[in-house]
Amino acid sequence: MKRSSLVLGAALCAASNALADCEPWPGEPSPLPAVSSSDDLTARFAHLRAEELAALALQLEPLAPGDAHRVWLHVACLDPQRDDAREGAERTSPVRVHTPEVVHQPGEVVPAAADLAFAFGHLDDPISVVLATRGADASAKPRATTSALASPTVRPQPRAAPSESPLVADGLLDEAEGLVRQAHFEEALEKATKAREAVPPTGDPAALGKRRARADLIAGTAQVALGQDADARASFERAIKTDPSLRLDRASTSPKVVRAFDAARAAASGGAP
Amino acid sequence: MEVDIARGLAAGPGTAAPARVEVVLDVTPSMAAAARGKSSNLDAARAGAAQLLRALPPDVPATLVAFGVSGPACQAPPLVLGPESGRPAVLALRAEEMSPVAEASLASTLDSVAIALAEQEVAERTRVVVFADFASQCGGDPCAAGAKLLATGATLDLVVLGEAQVPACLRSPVLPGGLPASVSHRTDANPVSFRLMAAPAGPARAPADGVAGERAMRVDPGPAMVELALTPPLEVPVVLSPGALLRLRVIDFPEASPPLRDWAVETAPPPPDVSKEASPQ
Repeated sequence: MKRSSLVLGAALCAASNALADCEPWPGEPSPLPAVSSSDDLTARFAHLRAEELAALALQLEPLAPGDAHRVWLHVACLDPQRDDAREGAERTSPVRVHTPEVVHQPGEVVPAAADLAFAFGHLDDPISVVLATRGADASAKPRATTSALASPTVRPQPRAAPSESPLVADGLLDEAEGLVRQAHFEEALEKATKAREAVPPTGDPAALGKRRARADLIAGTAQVALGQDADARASFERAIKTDPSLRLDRASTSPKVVRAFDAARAAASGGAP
Repeated sequence: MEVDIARGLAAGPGTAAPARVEVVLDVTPSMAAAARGKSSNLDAARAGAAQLLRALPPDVPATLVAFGVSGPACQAPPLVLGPESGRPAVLALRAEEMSPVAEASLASTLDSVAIALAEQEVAERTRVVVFADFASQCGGDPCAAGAKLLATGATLDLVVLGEAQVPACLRSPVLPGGLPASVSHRTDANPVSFRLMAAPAGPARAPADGVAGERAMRVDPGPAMVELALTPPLEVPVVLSPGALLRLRVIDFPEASPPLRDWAVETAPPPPDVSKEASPQ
């Protein structure tokens, strides 16, 4: 027997013990056959069974890794000399502990992966946490903020009113904020756009400006969530230009939204983005 | 005579259901403490969870389970959002927005996740990822909860934030045994019947029916044919000797490529309960 086989046998021994000492599964002969059996038919069964279970384990790995792990251990019971059984059992270990480093600088954005294994392969990567800067006035209580995102509200009912009026705009804005809170960002963006269009061109300029700024702020928040970063920045810049007093409640707003808003403010005031 | 059959995997379902992900996020107030100029474990947990959620393939359903986001302390159930499919940014943003409200138990959260996965019958294809400092203030037995979760067939990724250690029982748990659900679905548990008939060129014989795996049956000696109700049926010629047990052992792998079968005919002394009755066997 090769040295690697001895190591394999030892490595799998503990795991196999944890799995009821290589007990046969329903439908298998008892005791569980092994390829080393002196009986030809028994050995042939063990070999064929190990082959088909190894193929199944490979199929299961991306879909049901917990099951794949158990199948690999069973393959090792049937044929302890298979290296792929040991490797497969290690690959599909049902418990993994990760201790990623935390860094205080913007990290690379990991794009959506093609498969789960790739996404989970990044769990040990550093976690990027950008500390909030002291630029904005967190104590300010702007009329139009995303602070309400953290408090539960009921989605408002649509109101019957002319298509262009402060009332219609306010109703749509309330609805849009409710949709953001419920994470329905596409619908929220649509409502916010409609709300902006519903703000009448005449009336109290300050009040109208606040409404438009609120609509742009909600739209920008939804666009951040949807990954539409350029559009989000444009919405935030428009909101800030319309209402320069606009502030976010940083305690209850997503850090990502805060960062996008701050970048837009810097750009709107002529600073570096 | 007696017949034993050992079968390989049966045909499986055509398309496999997609894997799923459950992100468990510790949002308890104790996670929020931060040294000056440094981020808190809560900041890291939220960022890490959002980072993972944004990296998931769009077709993978994901659920966000946050504990510590409501009171009363140590009693409130976790907040469960999802499963969401195709909109990972939605859950990522929600993860970033989570604010601590009251202490809560990691153990009871894992327990509730285990129960939900088992009820939904999706556990074996679910990967559970926990972002926590593993310094729960509310007690409970995380080892028992972790074992319960693993017993469902789910896997567990523990992302440790801060200096606390993961309990050894969670790092190296006693793994569940038994038949995995994915193999159970492809195991034909139906017994195989067989019929003992006259051999084509042999003397007349009254057919005798039996079931593989059951105790030996008494039959007349002489040449015969055993037909097993496999797919397709298998016919094996045998010669039954007086005063002996004929054992037919068959292995059948219908899903091998090509399908494989083999058998062996053995003769042995009859078992006591048969030999007492009458010979020949």
